[in-house]
Amino acid sequence: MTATNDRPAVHIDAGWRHDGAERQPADGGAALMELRDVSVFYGDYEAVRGATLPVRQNEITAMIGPSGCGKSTILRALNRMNDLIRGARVTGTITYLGQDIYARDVDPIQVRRQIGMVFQKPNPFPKSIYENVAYGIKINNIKGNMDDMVEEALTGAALWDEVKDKLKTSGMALSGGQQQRLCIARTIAIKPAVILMDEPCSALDPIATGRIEDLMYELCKQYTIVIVTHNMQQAARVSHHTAFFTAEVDEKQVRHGRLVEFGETGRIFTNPKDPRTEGYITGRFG
Amino acid sequence: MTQITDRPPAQPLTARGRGAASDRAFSAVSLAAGALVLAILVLILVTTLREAWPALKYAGLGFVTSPSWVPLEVDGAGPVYGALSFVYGTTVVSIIALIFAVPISIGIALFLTELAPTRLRSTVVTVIDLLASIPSVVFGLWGIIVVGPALVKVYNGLHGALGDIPVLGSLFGEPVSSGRGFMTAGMIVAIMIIPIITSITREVFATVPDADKQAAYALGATQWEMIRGAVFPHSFGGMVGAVMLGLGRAMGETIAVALTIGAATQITPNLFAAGNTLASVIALNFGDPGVPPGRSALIALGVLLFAITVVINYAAAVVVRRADVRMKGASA
Repeated sequence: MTATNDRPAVHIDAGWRHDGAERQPADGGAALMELRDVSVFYGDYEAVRGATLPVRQNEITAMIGPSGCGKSTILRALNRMNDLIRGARVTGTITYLGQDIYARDVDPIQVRRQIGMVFQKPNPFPKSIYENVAYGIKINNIKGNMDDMVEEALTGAALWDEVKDKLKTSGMALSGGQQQRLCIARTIAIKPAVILMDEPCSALDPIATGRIEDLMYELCKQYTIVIVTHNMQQAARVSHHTAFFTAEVDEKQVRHGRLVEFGETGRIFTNPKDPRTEGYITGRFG
Repeated sequence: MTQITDRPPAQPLTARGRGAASDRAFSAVSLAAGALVLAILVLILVTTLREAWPALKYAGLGFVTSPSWVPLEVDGAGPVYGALSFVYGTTVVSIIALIFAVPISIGIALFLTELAPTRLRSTVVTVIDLLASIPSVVFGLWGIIVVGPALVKVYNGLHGALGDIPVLGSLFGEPVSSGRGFMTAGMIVAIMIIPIITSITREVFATVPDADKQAAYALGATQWEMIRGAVFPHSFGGMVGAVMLGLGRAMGETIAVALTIGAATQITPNLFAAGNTLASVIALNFGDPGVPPGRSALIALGVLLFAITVVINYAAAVVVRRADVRMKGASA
């Protein structure tokens, strides 16, 4: 695996992404998805209570917060992955292009077709690299030349040059960072509108992380990205807007995730309005 | 605050040779147990080969190439020992059994792991385990008394409907009136191997990581597409293993087949005709093996069955290894 080192090193302090000139105007992007008073329950337990925030088109929206704050739970509500968990249910409304994705006549399969997901641990299928990418194209009956579509997706995920000579080998034989980019390629192969990323770099080393972050920045020109991350620097580096969640104990001593603050990333990190946000990002809490 | 006591001075390492005595004893016992299995296997092979030798020497290559089995002296001519028709019978019965048992078993296993509500799950598992505990002679008698006669009508219907079509017609030929034949034996064996294939594939399906399933769902997969994309590739090796265990049982199944196959020495494409398998011939004729070296010839059939089983299992292992390298990378 020599090809992994021929790109620039990680942007530990990628200031160029922070300055206002590079950013889209703070409230300029139209909201592609909107969450209004969303709560997620597992059985009787209310894991997240009353989150309201927009997901703007062609932006990266970061969700940060301490463990147990419900950020991953909210993320999984966005493409109805929680449906797969027995007893999970969502109240409030989540809209995609103005349409309630939990409406009675909406098929979760159609939701996931438009709102894809990349997981924390790279999880390529035990198939060849080619078949990993082709799988989504096949099941969604996307018409076109399969070879071209696979190449396009792998190129889009910045993996093509590294794997073009070994498309028939197993996706599981790749390095962790390559596997995660393969998972991204698999997701963009079906051209969803939104890509949800659940701590996509937490299992990766800093170099692989940097490459995924570069890739996310490229991808958000065409896709809308929502990323959950434990890594505040990552949120600060890549995202346009940030939602800060925390876990609060209610009067019955039950913990619930709550959305504390949502805003432009630069503002959240430099001038948080809520003391809890400030406490978290300055490392005094969580 | 806990009192922090002074640590005793650093101690030199004590030399204890290669691990503690208990570990050495444990490894010796394990080794002995493993070696015993191998020893038993070799012993069986050596003794049966020695017993089979007179017949193998007498029949020569004809033992595996001739379809004729005449363990008597007819008109001064010596006995003839050709196992080909029994190899054919074993093959046909095993294939029929697998054709019925594999889809049903995988279907049950998928139902149990992916679809069934938890309450139903344990009930179905119990029923299937119960199926495995029925003695094979009971299956055989049920085949003779109930299944065979009942199936004759179906066989006749199929023969009537398909008998005139060129290739299919020869497969669905004239049935035996008792219903005993390849098809009945194969179906009985199928029922007998369903529990083992089901329980192993179920275990294998249960090990598919949730991450793989969720990855498929996140791409907009339906449940069936998820099963094809995530469950099957992950389970390929285990499924082949399960089918091989089922096949091993099917090829070796003796008494149930002996009772239901109709005992005829012939090679015919007609699935409704009577036949014999390697195992059933041994069971049916061991009491009256004919003129010498008849008994030895029956043992030679056992050796042949053993050899075929070993070859098939080895081939399956190669297939699984190659598939694992292709699908999971060289490490798996």
